[in-house]
Amino acid sequence: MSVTSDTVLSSGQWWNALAEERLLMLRCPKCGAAWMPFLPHCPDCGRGPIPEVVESRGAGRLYSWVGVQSSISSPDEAPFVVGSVILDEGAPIYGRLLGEPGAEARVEAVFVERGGRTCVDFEVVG
Amino acid sequence: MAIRREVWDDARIVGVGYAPITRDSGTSVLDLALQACGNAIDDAGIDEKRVNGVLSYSFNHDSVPVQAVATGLGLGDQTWALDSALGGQAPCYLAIAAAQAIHAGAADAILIYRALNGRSGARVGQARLPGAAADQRYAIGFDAYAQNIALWARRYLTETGQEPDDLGAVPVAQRLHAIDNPRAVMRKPLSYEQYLETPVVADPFRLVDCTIEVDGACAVLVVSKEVAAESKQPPVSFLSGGYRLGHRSGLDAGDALLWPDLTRNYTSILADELWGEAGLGPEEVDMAQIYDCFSSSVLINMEGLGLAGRGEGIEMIRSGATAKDGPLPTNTNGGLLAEGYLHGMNTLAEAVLQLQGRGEVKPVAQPETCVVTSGAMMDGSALVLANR
Repeated sequence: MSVTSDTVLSSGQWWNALAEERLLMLRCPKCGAAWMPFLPHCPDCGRGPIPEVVESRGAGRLYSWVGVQSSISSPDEAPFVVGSVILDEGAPIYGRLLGEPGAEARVEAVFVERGGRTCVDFEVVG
Repeated sequence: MAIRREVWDDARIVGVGYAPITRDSGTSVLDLALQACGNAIDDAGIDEKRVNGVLSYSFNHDSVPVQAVATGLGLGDQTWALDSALGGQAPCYLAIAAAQAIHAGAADAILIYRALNGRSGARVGQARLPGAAADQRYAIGFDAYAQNIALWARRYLTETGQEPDDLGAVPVAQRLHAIDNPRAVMRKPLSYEQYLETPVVADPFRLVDCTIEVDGACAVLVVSKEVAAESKQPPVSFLSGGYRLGHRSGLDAGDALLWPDLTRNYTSILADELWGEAGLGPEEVDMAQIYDCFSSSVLINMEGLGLAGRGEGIEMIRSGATAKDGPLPTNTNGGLLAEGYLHGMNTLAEAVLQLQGRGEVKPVAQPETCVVTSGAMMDGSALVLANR
């Protein structure tokens, strides 16, 4: 679903959308590449077509993961696992992983309150 | 595009200097830089008033500027200076920049140094990296350098059908070198069984898969062929060199989110040019000094350069191929894993010392050529050096 076609998404807007349990990303209208909203231009096409802001369905595959034995910023929550997830729309994203990690495991987004804001974690579903 | 070959004709590396590598230097970063640079000048046997260029690099503002070092050493007028924030990707790149400056006539005696209180001062392993992508990482507690690289290691192990504990081959092999290196911080013998007893710190990494943060400094002196003739050390020459910043490289030093393949880094993009310009292949080079902030970096770099087949680096190291009596002695100072984390400046310095026949660890066969890399991830630099 295209939310808007002429606004580049700021980091703040991205976090605000997460609070509404919407996972937004940017998509290049020219090549279809998708990415998280920290870059104003398509990493492949560069400046040119204005990226679309689209909502991810939140499903993807686990590309890699790391066991965080100790965390500087969340010392009381470790250990936990952080996954590198490729969403089905093509955008890569990091999120904490719920469930047993495995290469190419199917995952789905789960919205979790953490440190006063809503974060997106990923649950292994298959 | 490749750097023009005539750039390499004019430059030689002659001097190497260190400040002590420790866990607590008890002194300033400037003092460490001055010690290492002064030692490199003395080592080369060149009059310090000949030095007319100073290059350095830092990470998160952890060093002192080149102007301070020129002042502190009482150098004369400098005609070439550069402070880079590239971190561990810089050492080979700055040597290339020095060769380019010498070829261009901008300077003819150039110091390159790395100095930091990386243990007693700000530690990279706990650093908060600036950059737009960090916002999302830190919010989920994904906040240490080892964790970033662990993602690469895990994907590499997955794609090559290996297990986390297989990584142990790297620190075990490098520790064997470090035992004979008085500069090394980690010199106790390390068996594979002992490796398995060390704690997992960022799965799949155990403690000794990670470099050891240290205080210290290291410098080399790059000079023109003419100045090299005045040096008391044998000259080391450049056969080839290059830097690559891969497409989709990311927004900060820990941001590999857009990078398409965590099992391949800048070495994969650079390899053909590096060997082609050097006029020798990975099977012909005598020695390797490979950037090793983490064990997996050695594997991805070596396989990227074709020194080992895809997924075969661990087996190659286990076979003894990288030991001092093997066909490709590698990280002969113990590497960043054991000598200490001077962000790869000591990796380049070790290559120079070995080619000059001055290494603390003596390979069975004196190397005539050596490949050096700087960097573990999306960007980095490499050199092929020779003792002629």
